[in-house]
Amino acid sequence: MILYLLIMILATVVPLLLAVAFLTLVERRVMGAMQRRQGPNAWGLFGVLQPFLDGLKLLLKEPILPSSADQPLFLWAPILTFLTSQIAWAALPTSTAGAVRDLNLGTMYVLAVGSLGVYGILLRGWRSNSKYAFLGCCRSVAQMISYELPMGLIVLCACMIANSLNWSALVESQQNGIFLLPLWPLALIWIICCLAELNRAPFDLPEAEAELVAGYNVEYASMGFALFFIREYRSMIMMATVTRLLFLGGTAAPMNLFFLNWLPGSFWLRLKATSVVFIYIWVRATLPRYKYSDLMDLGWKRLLPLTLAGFVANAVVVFNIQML
Amino acid sequence: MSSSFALIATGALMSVFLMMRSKNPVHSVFYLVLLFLHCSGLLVLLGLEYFVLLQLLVYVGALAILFLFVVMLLDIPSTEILRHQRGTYPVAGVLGLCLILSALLAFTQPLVESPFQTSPIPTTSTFTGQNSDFVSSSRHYSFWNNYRTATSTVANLGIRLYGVHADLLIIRSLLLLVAMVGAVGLTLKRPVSVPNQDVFRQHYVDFQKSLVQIPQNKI
Repeated sequence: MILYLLIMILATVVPLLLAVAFLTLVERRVMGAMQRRQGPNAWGLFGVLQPFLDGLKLLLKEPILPSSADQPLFLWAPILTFLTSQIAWAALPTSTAGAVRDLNLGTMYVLAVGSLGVYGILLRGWRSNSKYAFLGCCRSVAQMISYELPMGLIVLCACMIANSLNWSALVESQQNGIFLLPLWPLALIWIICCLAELNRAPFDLPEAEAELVAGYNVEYASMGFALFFIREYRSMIMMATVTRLLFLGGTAAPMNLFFLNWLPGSFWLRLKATSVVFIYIWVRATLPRYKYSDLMDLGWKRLLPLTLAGFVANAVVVFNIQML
Repeated sequence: MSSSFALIATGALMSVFLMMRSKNPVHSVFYLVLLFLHCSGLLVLLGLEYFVLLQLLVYVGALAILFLFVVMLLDIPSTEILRHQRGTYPVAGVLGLCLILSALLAFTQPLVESPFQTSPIPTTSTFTGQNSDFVSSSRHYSFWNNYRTATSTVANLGIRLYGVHADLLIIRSLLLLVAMVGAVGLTLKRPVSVPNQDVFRQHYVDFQKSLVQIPQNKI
């Protein structure tokens, strides 16, 4: 049992870290293509060695410990962020074989763990004992908390249709039609919330270079920064995975044709997740940064009432259909 | 008492102690978060998986962060905290007495079955605090077909909250509504100089008086 769990965990973590490495390359290459330039292409075929060399560079750099920082917490903060973004993957089914542990309340588990991830960022910003880091962390945490509410409501909408809080049940209930079709307005809001939750452009205010230098990770160099970076990209992949589980039918093929069904579920799932990640990169290359007040306005005054209304409407429809 | 319970309870007590003893208020709040996490661990041992996640979402995810924000931004010196601490010793004494009495009560009262059942299917639930006992004890083997219809914690909570105690839920929701209206009212500041709209006054305007005829040559 322990061996099985160990293999499952390794089979989840190792491809994930590789995916993070290649995602950094993909982002730079895609951004380059969108801005009519090359991107990193010197090392290896199409620059495949670039992320590994970047990682090596960060590993070999000297870690700098600020003298005014709170020492144990300063060191623990990156590890905490890294771990909290890791444990959410335990409940996410990454293939047709299911997750490491397919929890009954898997969706709620992912949401709860996601809310734990805020602490790492808070610790980073506060323990660095620097103005820029503190302002960046305040912005980031406020943003993440306020966009968690519409996200939770949207997840509950999908769960209400599936009549379960289990990820596998969500995927199974999308066999006859993906949730994107009935829930497309919520899916749009979901993508916006994802961008805000991930602190990505156009909502990358925590690391607004012009005002805050680099946000809550200014004081971190070498591996501390690398852990932060891995966490960012891994939560990007996680959000994409959650998106395709909620709206895009998870492991199912896009059409119920035999030659499409012949391919494994994990392939379709990765294809869908990659397409969602591509949307994130596309948005980053396209849109300018928001103002912070506009961001909060959008979150609390526009998206939250909209998702609440959507939730209630969804509940009415689902209830009536179940009564029939 | 299992070893995991001992571990988590000890951790909870230690984090409480550290929370009270730490000089920096922000450290205190972090220890409070640690306490919440230990409490959710205790809930896991009880098999109340829904409450675990609720605790994590509500207390750890939202409430403690609000605390942290306030404490971080206020920058309270520790001397002021010490000054306030001295005034609260009688209250703390009464509360401590209550705690000791309730702990003694736990020894004298008969054991009551928890209304919340744990998840019946061990394969889909990771929180196997009691499920392994279900399988191993022969007492439960004879009723195995009951488990198919046994509801999960969430469903049980839903039935109790919205069916049995619906009246209390409505009263609680009214209380929350009052609190929300109060919060909105506190933040609403109406400056005197700015012309504001009064709906009732606008509705009761006499149109005979408000309409003024402009002479033809002025248009």
